[in-house]
Amino acid sequence: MNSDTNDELQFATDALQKIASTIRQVFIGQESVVNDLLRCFVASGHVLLEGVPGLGKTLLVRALAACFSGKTGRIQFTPDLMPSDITGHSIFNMKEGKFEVRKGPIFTNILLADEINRAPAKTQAALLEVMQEQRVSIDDITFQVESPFMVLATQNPIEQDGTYPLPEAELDRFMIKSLISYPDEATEARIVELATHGKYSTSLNVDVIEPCVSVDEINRLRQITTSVEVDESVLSYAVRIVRETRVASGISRGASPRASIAAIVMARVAALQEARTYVIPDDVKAVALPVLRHRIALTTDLEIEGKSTDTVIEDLLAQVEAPRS
Amino acid sequence: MQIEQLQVALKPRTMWECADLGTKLALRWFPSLAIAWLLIALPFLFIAMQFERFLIQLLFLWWFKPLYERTVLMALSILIFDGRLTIRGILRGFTDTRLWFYLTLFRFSWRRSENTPIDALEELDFTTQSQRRQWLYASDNRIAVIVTSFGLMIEAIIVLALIALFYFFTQSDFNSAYAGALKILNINEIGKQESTFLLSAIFIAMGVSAVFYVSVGFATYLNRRTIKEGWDLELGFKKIVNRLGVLVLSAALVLPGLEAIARESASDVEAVLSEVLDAPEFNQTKTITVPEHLSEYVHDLFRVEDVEPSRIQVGIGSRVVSWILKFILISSLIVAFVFLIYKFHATYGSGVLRRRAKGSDFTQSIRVKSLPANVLQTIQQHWLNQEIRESLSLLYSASVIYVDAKFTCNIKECDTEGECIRKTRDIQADARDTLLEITQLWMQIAYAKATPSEERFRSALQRFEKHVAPA
Repeated sequence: MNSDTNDELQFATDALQKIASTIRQVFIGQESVVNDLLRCFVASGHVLLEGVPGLGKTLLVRALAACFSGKTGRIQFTPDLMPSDITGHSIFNMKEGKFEVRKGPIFTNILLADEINRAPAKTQAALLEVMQEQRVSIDDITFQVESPFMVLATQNPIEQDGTYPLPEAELDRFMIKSLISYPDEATEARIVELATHGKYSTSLNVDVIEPCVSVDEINRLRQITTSVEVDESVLSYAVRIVRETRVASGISRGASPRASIAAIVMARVAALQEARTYVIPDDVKAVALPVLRHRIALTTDLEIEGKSTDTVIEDLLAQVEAPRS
Repeated sequence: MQIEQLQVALKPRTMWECADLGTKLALRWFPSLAIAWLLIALPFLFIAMQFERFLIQLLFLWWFKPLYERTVLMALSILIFDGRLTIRGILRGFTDTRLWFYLTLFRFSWRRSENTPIDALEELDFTTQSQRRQWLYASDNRIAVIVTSFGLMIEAIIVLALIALFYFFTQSDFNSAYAGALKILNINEIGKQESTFLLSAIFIAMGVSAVFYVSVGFATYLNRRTIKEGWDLELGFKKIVNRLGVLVLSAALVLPGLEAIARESASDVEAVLSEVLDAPEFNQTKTITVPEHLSEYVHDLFRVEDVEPSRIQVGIGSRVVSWILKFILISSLIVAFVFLIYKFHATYGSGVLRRRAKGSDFTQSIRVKSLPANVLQTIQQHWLNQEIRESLSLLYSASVIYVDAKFTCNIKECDTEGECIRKTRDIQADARDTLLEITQLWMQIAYAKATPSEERFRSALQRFEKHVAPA
């Protein structure tokens, strides 16, 4: 970093803190989910969120978008959803006598793809292609999606009948997978109080949120992230963790190099959150779970034993030596 | 054994008919046989429960199975001959010294169900018992192995069924029931209550299967005696004799002169018979040399029925081949057993993945020995040579190792800087602050590429020497 390092660092740390605290005005609890989401957003990734209905996934998306006056979109994935329902299509305008393009809900800043595993593979692939390429082709015309662009796809861990589980190759395109669980008693009481106090509505209102950063500031934040120092030993540490998933005895499918990249990019944001201009092994370890949990598959033995992916990853982290020299 | 009082119809039966007969016997006298089993098994269950570890409880209970089965056999042998069931009669089976072989050398014998009746009921000496077993079961020993295999499977099925039944009735939903059932089967992490329940389930399964196991074995024994010794014919003759007893007695009284005539005729017949039996046609012998491991199957292989085991000759070459085959088989089993233990331990040991446990492989003493002889001097030497990173790396590593050795913080190789700091939160303040300062210096040079001032380095080194390094 150059002589403006301190200013840049100060700006980045403040911006991250402001976004986090703004989201927490309406999204109560779930600290780790908010942290994961924020890091992934700044790292230009996409999130796969797993949790039962009613835990505030839509609210989280809307709150994040409200932080920078961004646009939000929501697609409820169903078995009859077509790729053009996501990307858009061209339609003949009778009045003007020509085809015109109608852009789909993908043209937004933050897109909530609700219950992504309810749509068939063809429709899923259309969305995942946009996530990867950041552009959409409709009738041979290519359109860039909005910037910043982030997809937050949700999956329901129950009611698996009639779903189309995401293939491994497509899962890999999500930078992280975050698990949203039930809140504890105190948090739930606070949510209920906020949602019902002095109004008829039963949901939390994101209108109270004032934008705290601009789109330009977000792009600047992303730029600063790229200049966070990553020592060779830390890089090697991240790679060793990912490589360990490929040889560990309880794992049938290990993570790809995309996981190593995601771990470093996420760790950079984590370092900025801690007001550091360099990544330390703790940052890598902190992001290892969300980065790896959807990229590995356990062996049948461990699945039958009821071991979770998180348990296996934690055990795996305990086997990789931390840098000491 | 009073054959006339036998409660079942004797006739030569096939293997499956024997199993059927055994099952029917077990069903007919199940309560009495089960009580006889409980008589000995229950005390063993209580003793087993006194052990701390579940595996030892299970092993103890399982090892003494031949003892409990012996009571069932004795009870069945009394009931089948229409006798009166008494505790003394049941316990008579324990006088057989060969029983202790079943608890030691022959504990893993697959043929216990059919061998036990010979040992317990016929009261023969060791050598005769062995010969008799070979002779009686020479051409048909498959059922014992099948019965043992079925018995094991039935035991396992009953145990699983009891577990499933318990959890699916006591838990409110399927997932909890499934999780509970899986938890109880993970014997490494089983709790006290679960182990008691599991042991009880195994005990019940052992009791149920033992009654059927022994009954089928006994039915096989009866069948072999019927085939080999003509028990059915003997019984038939005895019945005829009983019915005609009065008539024969009368005839003997009325026609006393016939006795002398009969005696004379009998001596003539004996002479003729001896002549015929001594003829060369009746004295043809044929020597068959077979490998030792096939000697038991000689009847099936050569379609001969009446070869006595003592007349089967085993060639030296065959004996050597047989021993080599046995050696290979036993070695393979041992290797397979060791491999399974290794795999089980490697996969499901203390952690989920135990392929390499770097964090726990190094003891504190080894880690201290991994440092150079004079740590302080080496650190300073690196610093003077402008090898700042090497110098601070050694300072940091040495601090972590010394603090861990001194305060037993359980720091592992996988612990990052933040985790080391967290683990040393409760140690002596001076040592903790020194480690914190050295960690900061290390992180600056290692990850931020920022060289600390010499003054800061010297200060950290002094504190290291004073609070962390061993005297």
